[in-house]
Parts: sequence; structure tokens; C-alpha cells
Amino acid sequence: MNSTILIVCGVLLYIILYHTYGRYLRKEVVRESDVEVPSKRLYDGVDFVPANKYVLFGHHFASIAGAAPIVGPAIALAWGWLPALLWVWLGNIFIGAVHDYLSLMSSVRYDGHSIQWIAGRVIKKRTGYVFAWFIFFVLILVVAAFGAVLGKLYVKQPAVPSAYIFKIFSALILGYLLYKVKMDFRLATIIGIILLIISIILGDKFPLSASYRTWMVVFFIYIIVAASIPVHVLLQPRDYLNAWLLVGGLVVGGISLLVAFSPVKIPAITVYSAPIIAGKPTPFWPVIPLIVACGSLSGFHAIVASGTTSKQISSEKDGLFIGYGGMLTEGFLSTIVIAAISTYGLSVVSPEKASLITTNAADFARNYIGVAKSVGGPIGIFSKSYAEVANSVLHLPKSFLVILASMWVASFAMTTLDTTNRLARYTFAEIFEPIKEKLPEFYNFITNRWVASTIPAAIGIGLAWSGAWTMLWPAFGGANQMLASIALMTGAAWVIRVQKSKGMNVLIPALLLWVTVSLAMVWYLFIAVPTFYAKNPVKAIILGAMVVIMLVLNLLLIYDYFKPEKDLETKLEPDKV
Amino acid sequence: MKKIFFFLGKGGVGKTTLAGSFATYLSKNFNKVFVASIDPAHNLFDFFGITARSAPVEVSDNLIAEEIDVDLYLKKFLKEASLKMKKNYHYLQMINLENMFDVLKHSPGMEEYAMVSALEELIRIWSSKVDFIVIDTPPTGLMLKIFFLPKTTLLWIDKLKKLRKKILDRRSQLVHIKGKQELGEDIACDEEEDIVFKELEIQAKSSKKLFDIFSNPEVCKKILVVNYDELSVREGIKIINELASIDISVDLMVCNKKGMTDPISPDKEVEKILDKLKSLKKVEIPFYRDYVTPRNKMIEIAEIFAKELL
Amino acid sequence: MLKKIKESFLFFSKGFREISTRAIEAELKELENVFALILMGALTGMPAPPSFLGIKLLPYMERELKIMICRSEALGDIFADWFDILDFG
Repeated sequence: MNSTILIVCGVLLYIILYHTYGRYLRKEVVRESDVEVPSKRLYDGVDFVPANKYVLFGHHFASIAGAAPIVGPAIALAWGWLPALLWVWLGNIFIGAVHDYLSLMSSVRYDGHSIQWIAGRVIKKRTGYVFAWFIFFVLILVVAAFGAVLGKLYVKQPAVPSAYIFKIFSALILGYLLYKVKMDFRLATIIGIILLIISIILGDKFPLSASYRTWMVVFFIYIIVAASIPVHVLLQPRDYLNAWLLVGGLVVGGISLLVAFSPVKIPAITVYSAPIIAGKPTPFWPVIPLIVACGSLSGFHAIVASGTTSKQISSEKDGLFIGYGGMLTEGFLSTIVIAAISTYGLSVVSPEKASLITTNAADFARNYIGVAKSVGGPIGIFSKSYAEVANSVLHLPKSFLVILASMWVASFAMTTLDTTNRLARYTFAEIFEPIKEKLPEFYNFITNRWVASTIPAAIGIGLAWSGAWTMLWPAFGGANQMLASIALMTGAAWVIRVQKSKGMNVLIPALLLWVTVSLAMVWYLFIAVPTFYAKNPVKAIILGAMVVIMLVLNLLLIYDYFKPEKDLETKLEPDKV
Repeated sequence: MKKIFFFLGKGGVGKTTLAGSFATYLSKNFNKVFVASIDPAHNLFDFFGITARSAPVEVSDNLIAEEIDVDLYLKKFLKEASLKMKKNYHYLQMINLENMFDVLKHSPGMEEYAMVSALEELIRIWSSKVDFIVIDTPPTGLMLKIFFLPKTTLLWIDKLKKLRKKILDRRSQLVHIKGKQELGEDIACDEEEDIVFKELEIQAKSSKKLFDIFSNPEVCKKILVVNYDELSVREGIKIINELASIDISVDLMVCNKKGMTDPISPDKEVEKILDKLKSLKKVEIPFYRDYVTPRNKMIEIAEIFAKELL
Repeated sequence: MLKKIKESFLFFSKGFREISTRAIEAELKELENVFALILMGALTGMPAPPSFLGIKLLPYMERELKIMICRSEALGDIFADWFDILDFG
């Protein structure tokens, strides 16, 4: 087995099933039609504006692509490359991409309303509220998970934080050139890319070493500050640079692996219960969704799909391409990650470390996480492997490539840190809505911009302080998957109750997912959390509390699904097919 | 125009009488005078013994009087806006506009705007034609709003201009990268093209002009009229303080109708309060039992306080 | 063939331009929304009556009013749009 075969298989599988299963979905499940989409029917020149399908695809894909499709698979390799890959391929095709596609299409049929709004209509009113709670937890846990993972990376690869700081300056400069000076777009873009390259070189020359705790403090301050700067100063130019990083990273990685023919060196399957989370034997099923979320299935994609994408889609036909295809492309990204680490993972760690995992499959499972830690955790082992591949094919300097890859992932992760902060301000208002009348002063206090910013940042970084990314990552994954659960159930409810078409294709995966994630979270609560408690009692309690609340809400969800609102909003003309 | 005089005070203190008398006095020395009432409850023509009408009337040589129909200004303003609307809007689905405008006529904020508008217009028309303008004002509350409106408008427009600049800024950034068709051909992206910004500047300019007139003690004199009762004096003080907060000073206080009430205790109270306003020039006018309609009586009264103003 | 390449290049260009401005575009719409609300909020149910300035500027504020009305209609379900623009991923 080599990288090329993996990549080719992945791409073929996706393409074939896109055309077969995808076709089936659009015909029998979504019942795609010529009904006018909201961008045309409700055209207002403001939010409802039809967009070209390629541009919209890029827009949508850039929104859903992040650091998670990279980090997750890197961790999941502890089970061997085959299980991880199968989940990335099959989980994506039959659950994840379906989830994205349905979220998009149901939103299209509901005048571009968000999946949260739709859930409140096809299941129960309070489902929309449950949604808000899950989003809230995702926002906190993603800070914890990304913060911890980034922290580990920065400690082991000090060139990366330095490069990232230079990248921020590059973004500021690019923003100034592009928006204030109004330099020619193409010229400014080229300058931006050059600045990016310089950032990497400078990062290499002037690495920034600091302790893990220091980075936690830096992240906390960064979150609060970055989320308060006007949008056009940092956020916009930085997002633009990230888009180029994404494209570059994908192209370079994809091509390199495709032509590398480098042999896979790690075991296909190790053990069923590799010790991943908190060092405890972690059963592949049901816990895999908590580790590999994005790349296979991710709840917040539903929100993105039912946000601006559904309002701008030009025709129902484009739905498969953008919704289903977009998710498959993210699966491709995860495939690249698995391929890279599988082939070069061993070469990037020290020989002593390598010896820990090359003996046999069981040893690999046992020591993989520890070995990955030695090079900077999941991001570290990915970026180094990636660099090896790209170097062997393109012959660019390794140190440059490592920083490039690390910075690519770090950029997305850092962006998520301050974005969640902005989003949290709104979510606070949503979840505390019921007490608005009863406790007005508390409500005003909690929804104050600074309070609503500081609390999630504090809890998130507080949890990350422990450094236990093997605990925090699955918690984030779990919250994300629960979100996906609701979205998929909403999709199923829409297909079955409103569309009245072949809903089993959706309901069965939805229920399977629900069962899987619930069991995984129960496992997490009773096995992982107590272990964590030994070292970090307070944090364990906080995590445990969040998980308990999520499990309860999850039960509520399934109950509400099977006992929905009496008079459903099934008649939402004129888009009903 | 050399000067403009505002007669302020509580309702019923004798503003119209004094304003009319003063205008008559000024006109006798070949000074051309325009006297106007912007009080919706006009008494000016009654004072001069003219039948009410909506046009200026030549009372005597060099003296023209008018009862300004403020409502007309409001209607004119709204009609102009409505016409512009029909011209500029293409297809926007607005709910019945004319009905909306009828309601607006009575909304707070429109009344004083109409008065300020009327004031602006009469100053514009008459300052080149006459030497002196005398204004009989509406009761305190409304009059204060009229003085305040240009100032608050300026502050408000300043903020709106800043917001507008931000908008134009972002638009130009968008257009620079995505092209003009992104927003639409007729959407302005800089201060030069933006009609809204220009209007804001025009409005700011006229507000500033008006405010400069109000606050210039050489050009604009404010006469506060009070009676010898505690209520009107206290209200007078309120007027002085309110105007002071936007740097407009009262130039003369006329204590009118002295001796009308019981000369014992009420006047003593009032004297005490008036005493405190040492820095303000004061003039006393005795109570006239008969109407002040004969011309010589008007001049007689005016002579008592005219010197302080000229 | 060359035409296809040129076409895809154009799409690429359009896509990148789109990405480099979407947050600014969102901010612009909100600024315009606020501007219209301040001047003409009464049209969307704000208790204050339209100001005289609002009426004066009304003829020139078609775009802003459109945005204001769209926003006021969408208020109940606006969160999802921001996940996209703020680039959560």
C-alpha cells in the first residue's frame, strides 16, 4: 500500500459515489426539482442573491474547512490507518456529506432559514433552543480543544508561533494595502503571498520559545483582543490569506502524495481499543466520531450550509455539488492527512521514539499518541510528515515546509479561537433568553459584550490549561457530533414528514449516529472523565457537567423526535414539492 | 439686517404687546422693520387691529407684520419630500406613503422643525429688505426647542456624517475589489457623489448659520418678558439657564405689568428672586389698565426699554 | 480548451475577490442598516417617529431602506449567516 493508491482510491470512491449515491439522494430523497430557489424567488439584492456555483462552492468550502479535519485523523491513526480511513471515506459519504447536503436543501426549501429554525418547525419548538445549547458548548469546547492542541504545537515547534505573529502583521499590511490604499487586487494578493512566505522564513529564523502555560495566557488575551478589532483591519485580510493557504496546502499535498508512491509504513489496524483518550483503552466504535469529526461529519457545517449558502444557491441542481461535494472535498483533505502520516510519520520522529511504535501493532496503538506528542502533537506529526512528502516530490526545504504546514493548520485554529468568541456573544443571548423577563439584571450582565466574551474564553482556556488535549478534543468532537445529530434528525424529519420521500436513507444513519454518539459520550463520561478527575478535579467536573447536560438534551432530542409537535409546519408554500 | 429681536417668556406675560410696540417704535425713525409672530396662537394682527390673513401686511410706513403659517412650512416640506420620493424610487414596495406623512405632521420633532424652517426662511427673505426683524415667539417649551434644534441637529449630523463616512469607506473598498456593478451604478461610494452626505452637509451648514445668528449677541437680542408673579419669574429663570447651557445669553429682562397684582407680599417674593439676577439688565414696565392699541401708547411703552437694546 | 482554462481562471479570480470582501460586505450592510434605522426606524416598528432629516433624505436611501427592511424581517433567524462570514472553520 502506498500513498498514491490511497489517494487514488479515495478520489475514485468519492467520485463514483458522488455520481451514484448522490444521484439517488437527489432524486429519491431530496426530490430535486425546478422549483425556484430563494435566491431568485426572494431576490432582494441584499441577502438573497444568486451566485455562480463554483464561486459558491469555494465560499462554502472555505467556510467549512478548518483545522479539525487535520487534527482529528492525525489522532485517529492510533487505531491504524485503515479504520481511520474507512471512517473518513464511508462515514463521510453515507453520513457526513448526506448531512451537509440535506441541511442545505432543507434550508433551500424553507426560504433559506437556518437549520436551527427548521428544527424548531419539523421536530419541536424547543429543539431550536436545544440547538443553541449545543452550539454554546461547541463554542467553549472548541476553544479548549484547539487551544490545547495549539499549545502543544507551539511548545515543540517554536518557529510556528513566531511565523504566525509575522503572518498577523502580513494580514494587517495586506489589509492596509488592499482596503485603505486600494492597491490593485492582483498586485496586493501577490504581495500578501510574498509576505506569507517571508513570515515563514522569519519564523524559522526567530523562533519564539515559551512554556505551554504562557501560550495559554497569550491565547486568552489574543481571543479577547482579536474579537474586538474592527472586521476590516484583521479578520478580513487574515481570512483572505487563509484561503490561499488552504488552496496551496491542498494542491501541494494532493499532488505530492499522488506522485510520491511512498509506501505506507504504519499498521493498517492496530487494536480495537487503542489508548487514546486520557490514556484509557478507547473503543473504536463508538468513539471514532468524537475523534474524527470534521472530515467525516460535523455539526456546524449544517449551520454554514443553511446560512448564506442556501440563500445564494442559483438552482436546486447546484445543491449536490456544493453541499455533498463540498463535504467530500473536506474528506479528501482528511485523506491527505492520513496518507501523509501513514507514509512518513515514522521518519519524522526520533529513532528511539520510532522504535516504540515499529515493533508491533499493539505497541503502536499504545505509544502512538505519546510519540506524536514528542513532535508537537497531532498538528506536529502532520506538518512534519507533510513536509517530508512535499520535500521528496518538490524538493523545497523541509524546515520551510514544516512551518508552512503547521502555520496552515495553526492559522485556521487561531481564527476559530477568536471567531467563536464573537459568536459566543450572540449565543449567550440566545440561551439565556428564557430568563430575560425573570432576571433582567442578570440577563443584562451576562449578555454584556465583555462578559459574554470573557466567560467562554476563560472557561475554554481554563480547560486547555490542563494540557490534556486527548481529553478535550473528544469533548469538542462530541459536542460537534451532537450538533450534527440534531441536524441530521432535522433532515430526516424534513424528508419523512414534509417531503414524504425515502426517509430511511436518512433516518437510519441519523439514529445510528445518535446511538453511536450517545454511547461514546456515556463511555467518555464514565471512563475518561474519572481518570481526568484524578489530576484535574475542577476541570473534570466542569467537563463532566457539560457532558451530562448534553446527554440529557440528547435524550430530550430523541424523545421530541418521536413525539413531535402536533401541527407541523409542513405547509410552507410555495417551495413544497 | 442690522439686528433681530426675540421676545421670549411664559404665555400671557405681554410678549405680543411689547414686540408689537417695539416694532412700531423702531419704524418711526425711518427704519424698515419686519415683525412676525411664529406663535401658533397668533395675537399679532389682533394687536395691530388687522384681520387675520396669511400674507405680510404693511401696517404703516416702514412696518410690515406677518403671522407665519407654520403649518404651511410643514406641508411644503413634506410635499417636497414626497415629490422627490416619487422621482427617485423605482419599485420599492412601500406602504402608502401619503398616509404616513399625514401622521408625521403631528409627530413630536416636526413642529419645532417647521418653526425653525419658517424662521430660517423669513430671515433669508427679510434680512436684505429691512433693518430690523422682531419676532413674537410661542410659549417657552416650544421656543426653547426652537433655539435648541440647530445645536442638537449639528451634533446629531456630526455623528451621522461619521457613520456615513464609514459606509462610504466600506463601499469603496468593496467596489475597488469587486467592481462597480457589485453595488449598482447609482450607489455612491465617496463623499463627492453621495447625495446623502451632501444633504447632511447642507443641513449642517444651515443649522450652523442659524445657530451662529442665535448666539451672536451683536446681531441677535433676546428679550425675556416676565410678570410680577412667581410662576412667570421662575419660568423666566428656567429660560435663562436653558439657553445658557448652549451659550445663548438673554440680553434684557423686562418685568412687565408691575402693580397688576397685590403690591404687598407676592411682589416682595418676586423682588427677592429678581434681585439674585444681578448681572442681567432689567427694566420695569407698569401695568396699563387700557389696551395698548393707540400708536403713541405703543411708542411710549417701547421707549422704556428700547434704549437698552439699541 | 484554452477557453475553459481562461474561464476557470476567471472563476478563481471572482472567488478570491469574493472571499477577500465578504466580511467587509457584511459589515457594510449592517452599517447601512443602522444608518437607516436611526433615520427611519419608524418604518420597521421602532417607537421613534422619523426625524425631519430622515424624511429629507428618504428619497436617496433606497438601498439603505431595503437593507433595513430585509434585516428587520430576518431578525428572527440571523445567527447562521454569521457562522459563515466570521469564518468559524
